[in-house]
Amino acid sequence: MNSSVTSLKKNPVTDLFKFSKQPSLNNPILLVIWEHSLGNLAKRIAHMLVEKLSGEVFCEIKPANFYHLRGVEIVDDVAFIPQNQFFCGQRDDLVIFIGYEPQLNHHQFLSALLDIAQHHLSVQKIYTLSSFASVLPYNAPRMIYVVYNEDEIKEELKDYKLVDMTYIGPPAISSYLLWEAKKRRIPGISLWPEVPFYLAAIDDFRAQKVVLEFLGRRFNIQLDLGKIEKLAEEQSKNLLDLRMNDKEVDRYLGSIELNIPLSQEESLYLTNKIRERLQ
Amino acid sequence: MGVRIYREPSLRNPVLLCGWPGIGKIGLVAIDTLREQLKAEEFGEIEAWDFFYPNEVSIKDGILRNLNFPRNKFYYKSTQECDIIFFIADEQPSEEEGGYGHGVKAYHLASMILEVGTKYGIKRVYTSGAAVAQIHHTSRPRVWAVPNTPALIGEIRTYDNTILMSDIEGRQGQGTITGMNGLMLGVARTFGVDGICLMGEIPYYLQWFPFPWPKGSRAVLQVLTKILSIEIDLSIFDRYIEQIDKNVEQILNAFLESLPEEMREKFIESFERLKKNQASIRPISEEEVKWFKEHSDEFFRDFFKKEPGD
Repeated sequence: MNSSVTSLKKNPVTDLFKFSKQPSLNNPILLVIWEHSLGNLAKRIAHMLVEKLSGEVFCEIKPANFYHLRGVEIVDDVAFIPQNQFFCGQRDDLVIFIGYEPQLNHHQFLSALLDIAQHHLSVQKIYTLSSFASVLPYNAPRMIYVVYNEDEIKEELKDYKLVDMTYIGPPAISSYLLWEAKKRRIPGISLWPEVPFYLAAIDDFRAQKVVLEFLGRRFNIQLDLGKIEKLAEEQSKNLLDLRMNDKEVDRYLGSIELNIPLSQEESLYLTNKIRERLQ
Repeated sequence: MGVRIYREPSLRNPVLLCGWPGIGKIGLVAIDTLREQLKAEEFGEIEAWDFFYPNEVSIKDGILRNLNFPRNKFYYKSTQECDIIFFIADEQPSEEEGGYGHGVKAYHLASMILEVGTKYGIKRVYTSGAAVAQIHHTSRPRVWAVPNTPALIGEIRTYDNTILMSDIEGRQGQGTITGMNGLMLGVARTFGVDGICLMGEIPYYLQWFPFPWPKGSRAVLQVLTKILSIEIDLSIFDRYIEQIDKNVEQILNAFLESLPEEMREKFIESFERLKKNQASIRPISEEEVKWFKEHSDEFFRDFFKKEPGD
């Protein structure tokens, strides 16, 4: 259908973000990492990558329009305000965005993010890192599910053993970002590592390792995964020990291994027991 | 923030009817049913992304296929009696999660709808919602009408089965219409457009009921179709109402069963009083209202919250 669009009011998008310096970049890839992901993925991976690249903040999306800022939250004894920061370091071909999903004005937020990516950084491609809760044994390999915003880029990741996602339902912020990027003809890839539901609120070192392996290989970053491998092994030992000392936990983990569904109460019990043990 | 108009309908002094979801979906079901019955044609929409988060994504074999937003669409229908513009929305914009339209966005949306309406010459807007009332669920719901100008009060008094706020004892003509239904009346005033909100009654103990309340929608449509001098087949509500009545009886019985005996007896007694007084404006006494409010709100809220997943 032919249509006409009447623009009634436009906020100056320049008010929404600020650059502290203008980095020298060469058509970088933008890696978007959302905080509060399951299995502490974002926290660990973002920290490791920024440290490895000696990354520094060069741009920030201001929080005022995007969160319910009624005073300030206190998190772990410290006053907290959501920060949405762009980092770059030794590499001129990689920018990392670490941020919090907006609570308000999602479209305006994503427009600001994409304006920065497209007009200020000349980003060639966007990767996002999310996560989803899955029912799987703790020692099972973690798969990374993937969503592309165009057919053409699917080919370039065919050797990475990613699983193509099929899903219809409420969209996450990464899907919304990919959709908006598609409208601007920016290729986008969304990564969805699976995290066992009972490790969602704590570290899932196996998932962290799988994602870091992928990112290291894809972006040619030499990451030392020895420490995280060790943490994954310790976590498995701890869970084995818990199984041996708690019959209910053993039964529920056994059910998961046999693909037998757990009730809501059983899932809650398992999650609480594991969290108590591992946290 | 933009309005997308697909085609320019030729309309003679149309009225604007707005339907949004709210308590019991009374307004949305009423206005959308009328739109369907009249086979109104879509002619435009308000771009949703500035107001709403998308409600569905479709991903197949790793490819992002589609992203859908809640409907915010304009439809039109020319009848022999009058021309109508419909605005139907699947959500109300709100700055609070789950709240009914309020804040700057809600005001902007109301203004945009009225800009489109006035472009086509509307002189009047009707919104519709729920009136949470002290009635029994077997009562015939009345329609509460609130105009945005005193000049319309006389006209409202001629409507069947319709009351003004001042007709409700204890209200003294005062009250609040939350969300877009109320906001539209206020913003319409600033556009020089007359407005009336028609609210179908819903028993207050069913305001958390997880299903629509078609009795309220039918009551609104009985009034609205008379105002517009158009006829539609309202028997389409019959089966729907029958089914909902059964559900209500089942849920209330289960609810009463879950109460301690003393409390159960009090509720049964109060329901009976409501039932007997179903024709009166204020069906139960002030003390009973107070007692009901104190004892039932929490019970029903918790009980119905459980229902969708049960």
